[in-house]
Amino acid sequence: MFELTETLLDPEQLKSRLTDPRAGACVTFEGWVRNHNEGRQVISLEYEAFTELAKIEATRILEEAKDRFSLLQVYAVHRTGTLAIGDMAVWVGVSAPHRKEAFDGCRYIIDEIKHRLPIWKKETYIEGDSGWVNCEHCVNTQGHSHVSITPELYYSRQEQLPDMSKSGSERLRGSKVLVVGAGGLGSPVLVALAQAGVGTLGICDFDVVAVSNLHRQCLYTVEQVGLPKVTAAQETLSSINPFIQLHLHEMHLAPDNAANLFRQYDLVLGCTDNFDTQFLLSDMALLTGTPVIQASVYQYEGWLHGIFPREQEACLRCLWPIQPMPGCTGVCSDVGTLGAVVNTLGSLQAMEALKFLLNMPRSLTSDTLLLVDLLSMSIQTIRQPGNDACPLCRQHSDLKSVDKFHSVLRDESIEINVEQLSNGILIDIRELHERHRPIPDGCNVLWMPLSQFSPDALEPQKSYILCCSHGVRSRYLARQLRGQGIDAYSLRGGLLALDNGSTVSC
Amino acid sequence: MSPALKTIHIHYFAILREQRGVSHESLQTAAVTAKDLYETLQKQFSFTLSLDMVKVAINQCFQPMETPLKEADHVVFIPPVAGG
Repeated sequence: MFELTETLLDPEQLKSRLTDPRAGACVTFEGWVRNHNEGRQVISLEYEAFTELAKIEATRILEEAKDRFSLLQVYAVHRTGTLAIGDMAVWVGVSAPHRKEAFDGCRYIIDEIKHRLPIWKKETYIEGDSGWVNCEHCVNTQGHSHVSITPELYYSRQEQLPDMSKSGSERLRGSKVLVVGAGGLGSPVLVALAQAGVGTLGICDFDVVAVSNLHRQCLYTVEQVGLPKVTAAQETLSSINPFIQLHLHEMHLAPDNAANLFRQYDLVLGCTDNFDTQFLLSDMALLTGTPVIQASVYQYEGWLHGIFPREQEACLRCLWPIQPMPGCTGVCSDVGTLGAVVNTLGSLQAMEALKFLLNMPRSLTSDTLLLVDLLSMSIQTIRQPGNDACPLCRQHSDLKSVDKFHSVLRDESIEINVEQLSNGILIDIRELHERHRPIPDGCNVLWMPLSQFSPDALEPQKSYILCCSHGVRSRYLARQLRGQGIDAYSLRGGLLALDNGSTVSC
Repeated sequence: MSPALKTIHIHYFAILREQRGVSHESLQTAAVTAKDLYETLQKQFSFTLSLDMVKVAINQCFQPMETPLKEADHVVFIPPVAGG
């Protein structure tokens, strides 16, 4: 579907590849070498490509175009080597049932090729001098286009490091790392791994950039507010390092899709802000064999934790056999957070990831936890021996049993909508200080704050619907009560859902 | 006769540090185990986290809460942390 070639292009021969009996339109584009660029007279041109990456990326572009514009056949070729004025540098051709898709698809392909392929050109000017011109894909040099951007130069400083050298960069280039959560921790992690040249970086996040993210999430800018984080991260990271592949996974990581994703990567970095995902990542490491390095922060402190299945010593459930309740130790929006803190923890996490990929001795192993306190500027290594009573990793002869930990997560029936409130007795589990938002009139509601909740007061033959502000704590508690044989439900979206125009009859 | 007092060096992590108001302190205690110590401190400083949610490291190693404390032990109380 895509070629890089040092020989002259033959458009007639290339066009024959587009033949398709279903096609009613064919559009081709030819890019030629012109005799001037930015006011200077050019006499010849030399193209150099980062071959492997260019081929992979071009194939992705062509697949995308085929999908997006319902094209029948697509083909593209880019020249490398020395070209004369008038030579064809790039050829793109598509066939489609109708002309609109053919025009749009061809335009899309050439624009994306110019933008995304790691191909550089060296112009030789009439005055006899020459200069490398980075393609659009590379950093926008804002008029300073005579900048040479080659992998050799890009990585030249890190390759001076002992234990790194060229072979280290090569090793990183062949590595595939998935970063789950592109927020406070994910930002510095992604930046550091992109800079170091990890060849394939996966970004998994479902959120969009918000103004309240900008003070600490170094990937994003004011202009990107409202964009999906994966898209904004791609923009930033491809400007930081044009020599890497970025794979975007705009989705909620869940038990039913995580294993498949894990198996595509050598290492997963957990940069999330909730226990559900942290425990899911820990479990998936054991299930798939892909190691996980996680970090978490609380105000000015944080920790780093790793699960390296081949060195298996301990997992997150060795420490907490029962997953902690959501919000039991606060969330960033309530307890506060600072850029310098997440950037430090994220950089430590990235450093441990690089040590792992480069096979260097790590500070973080399966049987250690690193406690970081940035107020007293200390890092403590705490030994974490495996817990023989761990419900997961000490019974790992049947790893499929990981599923059982997440069966509850998949059980959508635990959550109900406001329309179904009449199906049970409503219990408000908010704490006293949260009760400024009233329950709708006419609702028969019991108040039992979570901190004082006692299941003994509930009758097994009745149904209960728990509600809190956002529906997170109530879902957790409903799961716990189900485990005790009580028919409990959680109000989806919490009492806030009642504000969104829903009417309630209780 | 009351049990002998020991000097214990305590490090409170994350939300416990916030609720205690300091990150480190050394104190004299009659607590026999880490569990006794946490329960005493919980009452005194109104820690919101129940015992089963808090982990303890004694002299840089996670230990069961029932572990007896010795003179000059370094104890870190570690709650779960989820921010990111």
